[in-house]
Amino acid sequence: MAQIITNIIARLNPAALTGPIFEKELLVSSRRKRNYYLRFVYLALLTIFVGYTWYNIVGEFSNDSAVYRASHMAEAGIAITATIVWSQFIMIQLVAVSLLSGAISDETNSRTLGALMTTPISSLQIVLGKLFSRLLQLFLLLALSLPILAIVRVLGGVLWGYIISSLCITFTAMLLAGSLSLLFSIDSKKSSQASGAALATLFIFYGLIPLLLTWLIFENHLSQNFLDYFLCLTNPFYVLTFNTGIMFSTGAAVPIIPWWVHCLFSLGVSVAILAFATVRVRKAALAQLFGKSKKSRKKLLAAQSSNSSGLPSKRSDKISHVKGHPIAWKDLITFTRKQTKTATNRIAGGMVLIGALSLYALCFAKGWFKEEVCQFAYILVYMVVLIICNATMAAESITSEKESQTWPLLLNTSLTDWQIIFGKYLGVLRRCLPIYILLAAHLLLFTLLGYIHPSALFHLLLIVIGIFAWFAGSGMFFSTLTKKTSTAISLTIFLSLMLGLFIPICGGVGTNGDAAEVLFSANPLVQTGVVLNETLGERNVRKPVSHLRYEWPTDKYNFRETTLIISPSTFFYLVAGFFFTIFARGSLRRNIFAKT
Amino acid sequence: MIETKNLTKHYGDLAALVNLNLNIQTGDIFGFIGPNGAGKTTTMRILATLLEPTSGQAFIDSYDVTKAGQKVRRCVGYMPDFMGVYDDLKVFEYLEFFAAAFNIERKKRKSIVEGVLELTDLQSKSTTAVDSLSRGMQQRLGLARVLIHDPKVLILDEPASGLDPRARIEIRELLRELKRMNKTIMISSHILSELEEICNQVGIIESGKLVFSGTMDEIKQRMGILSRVKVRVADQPQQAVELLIALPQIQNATIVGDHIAVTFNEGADGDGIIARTLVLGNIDVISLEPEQLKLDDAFLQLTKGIVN
Repeated sequence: MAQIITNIIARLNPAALTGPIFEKELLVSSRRKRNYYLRFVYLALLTIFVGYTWYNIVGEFSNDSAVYRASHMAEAGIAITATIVWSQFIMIQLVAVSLLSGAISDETNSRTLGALMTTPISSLQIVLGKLFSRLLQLFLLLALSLPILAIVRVLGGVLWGYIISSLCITFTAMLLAGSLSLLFSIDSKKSSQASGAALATLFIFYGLIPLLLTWLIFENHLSQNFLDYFLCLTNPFYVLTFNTGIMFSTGAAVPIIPWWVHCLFSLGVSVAILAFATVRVRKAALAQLFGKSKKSRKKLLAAQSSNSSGLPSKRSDKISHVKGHPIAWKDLITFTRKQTKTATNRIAGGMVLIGALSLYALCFAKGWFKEEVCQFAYILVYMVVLIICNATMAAESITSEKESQTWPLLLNTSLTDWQIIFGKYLGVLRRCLPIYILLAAHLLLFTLLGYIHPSALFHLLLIVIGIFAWFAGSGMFFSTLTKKTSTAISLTIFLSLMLGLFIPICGGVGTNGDAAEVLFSANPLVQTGVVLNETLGERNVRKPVSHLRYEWPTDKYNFRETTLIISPSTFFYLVAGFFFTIFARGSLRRNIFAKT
Repeated sequence: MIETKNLTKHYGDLAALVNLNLNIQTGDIFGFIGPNGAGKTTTMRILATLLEPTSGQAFIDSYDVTKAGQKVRRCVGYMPDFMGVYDDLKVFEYLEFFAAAFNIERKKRKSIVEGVLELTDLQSKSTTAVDSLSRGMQQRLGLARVLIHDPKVLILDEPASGLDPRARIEIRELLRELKRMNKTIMISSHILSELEEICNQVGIIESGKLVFSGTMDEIKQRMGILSRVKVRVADQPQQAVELLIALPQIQNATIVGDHIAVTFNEGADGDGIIARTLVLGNIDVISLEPEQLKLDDAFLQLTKGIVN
C-alpha cells in the first residue's frame, strides 16, 4: 500500500511530469542574456508608462481640490490597469504562439526528437517539458507586472478581483494558445507554419465562429442566451471585456458564467490538446527514428522505383522552369507545393475555399452584401489577412533559408545583395497576390454594383500600399536580423502592435486622449474603418465626393482632408519600409552560419 | 589561383585562424586536413566570401575576396560541410534555379543543367524531389550545383562525409573527372587515404595555424622519411639483412614480423639492386614492395591533437 502511495506521489510530482527536458530548457534559457534583457525592458516600459501617466495626472489636476484629484486618480488607475491587462492579454497570447511554434519542429529539424525516444523520457514529459519551460518565461512576465498593478491600486478604483481574474484569464488563454501552437509544431517543418496554423485556428474560434453565431441568432430571431453561454465559456476576449466593463461601471451586467468557469474550461481544452499532442509526438518521433511513416515510405518507394525504372509518373515528370526573378520564382513554387503537398493541406485548403465561396453565395442570395456591416466585415477581414500574410511571409523569407541551411548557398551565387532583397520582396508580393486579387476583385465588383463608393478605392489603395511597405519592410529587416522565423514574426508583430496600439493607448492615457486620437488615425485598420464607414451603404454611395464627411477620431473631415490624413501616414510607412530595406541589406550577410 | 596572406580570423577571444599563408596553383587539387576545430571550414568560408577575415588578405584568381566578392563568387563553386536543400523542388528545378541565380541565360540553362546531370550521373533523378534523394545522391547534387556556372575554383568542405563506401568511391571518381577538366580544387576531408589518392598538394592545419603545406614528396622530406621497401624472402632472413646493410645505398634493414624493412639513403633508389644482391647471395625473394608514406602517419606526426 505504502509503495502504491509512494508511486502515485512520485507520478504527481511536477518534476517527474516534466522530466529532464524541462530542466534542460531552463538551463539553456538561463544562459540566454536576452531573457534577462526582455524582463528588464518589459518592467521598465511598464514603470515608465505608469510613472508618465501618474505625473501627467498630478500635473493636470495639481490646482484642483484633493477630492477632485483623488477621483481623477482613481479613473486614471482604472485606465492604466485596463491598458496593462489588455496589452498583456493580447501580447502574451501572440508570444506564446510564437514561442511554442518551434517547440517540436526544432527537435525534428535537428533530428533529436527520435533520439529522445530512445531514452526513458516519455512523450508526456517531452510535451509538458517543452510547454512549461517556454511558458515559464511568459509567466514570469505576468508575475513581474503584478507589483506594478498593485502600485496602481494605490491610485484607487481598481479592484483586486479584477487584477486576479484578469491574470487568470490571461494565463489560461496563454496556455491554450501555447498548447495549440505546440500541437501544430509536431507536424510542421517550420515554426512559421505552426504559428500560422495556430493563429488561424484562434482567429476562427475567437473571431469567425462567434461572428457567425451572432449573425445566425439575429437572423433567425433566436434567444441570445445560447450565444452568451457559449462566449462566456469559450471566448477569453468576451470574458475579459465583461470583466473590464464591470470595473469601469458599477451598473454593468454580470456575466452568465463566472470567469473561473471559463478558466476551468480553457484549462480542460488545453489538457485535451496536450493529450492529443502526446500521442502525436510519439508518432512523429518514431517516424523520424524509422524513416517516414508507413504511408509516406510506400509513396517514396513508389516514386524511387518509378524513377529508377525510367518510367516516371506523369505528376512527377512535370518540371517548372525558372521564370522571372529566380528567388521570387523559387519562393512561390516551394510555397505553393508546400500548401498542396499533403492530403490534409489539400483538404483544409479545399474546405476553406468551399466555405468562402458558400459564404459569398449565401451573402449574395440573402442580399446581405447591400448591408454596410457585411461589406465592412468582409473588407476588414481581407485587410487583417493581408497584414498577417505580409508580415509572416516577409518575416520568414530569410529565416526559413537560415533554418534549412540554404542561405549560404544563395549568398554564394552571383546575385547581388540588392537582387536578393528585391527577389525576396517580389516573392512576398507574389505569395500574397491571391489576397490582393481577392480584395481588389471584391472592391471592384461591389463598386460596380453600387455597394461601395468609388472614392473608397483611392483611399484603400493608399492604405494597402502603406501596409505592404511597413509589414514587408519590417518583416524583411527582422528576418535578416534573427535566426528563427518565430522570433522574426514575433518582433514584426510586436513592433506593429507597439506603433499601432500600445503607443496610441499610452499617449491617450497621459494626454487626456488627444494624442491617442491623432496616433490612432495613423493605424491602417482605423483608417480602413473610417473610410468604409463613410463609403458603404446605399445612402453614402449616392453622395457626391464633395459631400462625404469622414468621421475620424479627432473630428469630421471631407475627402480632400481625409486624403491629407492618409497620405502622410502612407508616406511614413513607405519611408520606414525604405529604411528597413536599407538596414536589411546591411545585415544580410551577418549571422549566416549561426546555428538555429 | 588561390592565395592567402597572413589570413587571420578571431571569434571573440578565440583565434580560429592565425596568419594563414596558402598558395594553390591552377589545376592543383589541394587537400586541406586538420582535426575538428582546426580552422579548415573558417578558411573555406572566407574564400567563399561568406565570412569576413579579421585581418590579412585572400585572393582567388587575383580577386580580393573581401573587396571583389561578386567577381569571386562567379569563379568559385562552394560546397559547405552541411548543405541544405529546397525540399519542394525537383532535381532539375533545383539546378536550374542556381543556374538562373548565376545569371546564366535562359536558353542555355537547359543544356547546362543536362550536362551537369550527366557529369554527376543524376539524369535518372532529374524529376525526383530533392528531399527524397539519399544522402549520397544529395552530395552529388551538391557537386552538380557547384559546377553549374563552370567555376574555375571548387571549394569542397567534407564532400564525402557520412557517405557509404560506394558513394565515396563515386565522389572520388567525379573529382578525378574534374581534375581532368583542369579545375582548381580545395577539398577537406577526414578520410585521409582518399585525399592521398587524388590530391597533389596537401595543407595540414592545427589550432588555426598551418603546420605544413606542399606536395607529398615535400612532406616526406620535411619529416625526414625516405623511401622504404618491404622485402619478403623464402628463408635466411638474417643473412639477407646482413647482405643488404652492406650495400652503400641502404641506410638500414631490419626484420619486422614476416618481412625485412629496408630504408634507402636520401636520394638513393633501387629495388633492382636489392633483388640482384639477394639472388646472388642465393636467397629466394618472394616479393619486393615499396612502402609509401601514408598521409595518416604524416598527419599524426605533424599535429599534436590540439583542438580550438
